[in-house]
Amino acid sequence: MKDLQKIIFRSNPKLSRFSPLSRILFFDDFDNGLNGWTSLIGNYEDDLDNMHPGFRQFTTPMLSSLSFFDNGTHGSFDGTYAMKIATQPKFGAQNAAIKRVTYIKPCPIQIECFFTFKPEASERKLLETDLRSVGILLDLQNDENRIMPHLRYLNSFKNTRIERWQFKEKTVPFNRISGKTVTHFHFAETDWENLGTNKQVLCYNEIPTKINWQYLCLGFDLKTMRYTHFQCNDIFYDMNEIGSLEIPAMPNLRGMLNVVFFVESDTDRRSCLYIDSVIVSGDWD
Amino acid sequence: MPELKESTTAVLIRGQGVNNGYTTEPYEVGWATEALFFILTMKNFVKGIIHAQFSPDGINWADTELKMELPPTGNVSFIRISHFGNWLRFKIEIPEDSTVKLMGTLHLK
Repeated sequence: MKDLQKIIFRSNPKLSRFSPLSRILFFDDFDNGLNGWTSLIGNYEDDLDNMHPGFRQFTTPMLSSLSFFDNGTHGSFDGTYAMKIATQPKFGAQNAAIKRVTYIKPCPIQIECFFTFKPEASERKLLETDLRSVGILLDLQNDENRIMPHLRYLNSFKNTRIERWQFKEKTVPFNRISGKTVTHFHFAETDWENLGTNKQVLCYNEIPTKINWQYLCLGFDLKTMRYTHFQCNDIFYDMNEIGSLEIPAMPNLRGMLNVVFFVESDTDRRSCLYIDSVIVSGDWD
Repeated sequence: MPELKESTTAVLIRGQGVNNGYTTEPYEVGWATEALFFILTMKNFVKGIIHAQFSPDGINWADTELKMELPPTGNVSFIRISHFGNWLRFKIEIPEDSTVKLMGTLHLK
């Protein structure tokens, strides 16, 4: 980003907390609506029943004011509304929201957002092990491959606090729906590996109705299809040796740039991921 | 350029079979001023009622006077709703031991 551009950018209170690359592909503040974020529907033909059950559980994201029974409206980072992705109240349940665009140039890109997560406050306990994980994934395709970087923050697993960022790079087998349509459930609870050697303690802030917003920044190069950097709050991770799911290019996805946020529950209670705002930038002239 | 009103459609029942007492997942609607809930009966029609429910917190739910009969297979019915606070969900009442396949969509603006 050039000096003058940086000054202009940093003088805007809505944008100043981000550190984007030179071009903004999109900036979505959920005080202005859902901005093209939608439910991640799985592939199917003829009948919705043919959709993979992992995808069938996904529901529409919503605009939330983060309102709670004991303390009223919490609101978002810089307004009232955030995008909320909520699981169903079931152990292992997952939900995801997606924004689908294509890339303008194969160049370095960066995804930044402010997020927070909590279980539904339906019991008067801390519930700090109820939410299994929150994560981000990209779904990209160039001429050769479909590339899917996956990262998640594993908060807890089977009632044990883990607090580790994880990645996934092992390809998932495909299920054929018809002659033309396939599906692969890459959200399955398999093949996650720890990122780095340390856990990262995020500010959970005790009871389920107190919210602290967290910062995430993911860099990925669309030319090399490799991670460039990853940061959560003040912790930076070495992404040099980290790969992504890779499969041969599919017939009609060239240029795809999808960004997905997801959440998983570790109990029979709803788990919720909230995104205040997200900015996706790229480095091209 | 006028500021356009936000509107959105949420799929609350996506073509699945539901039983008596089924409730949709809670949906936050505090930003909206009006809602329409459409039900399309896709398969296995039975006589039944769909109730709108309101909630102060997304956890505790109250029945409302807003309800409709399930439409016959292939048909659509809707409920108009206003003054709903921050949360909405819908409850299905059909005979015990029956399952009806529905598409339920909530239209907000």
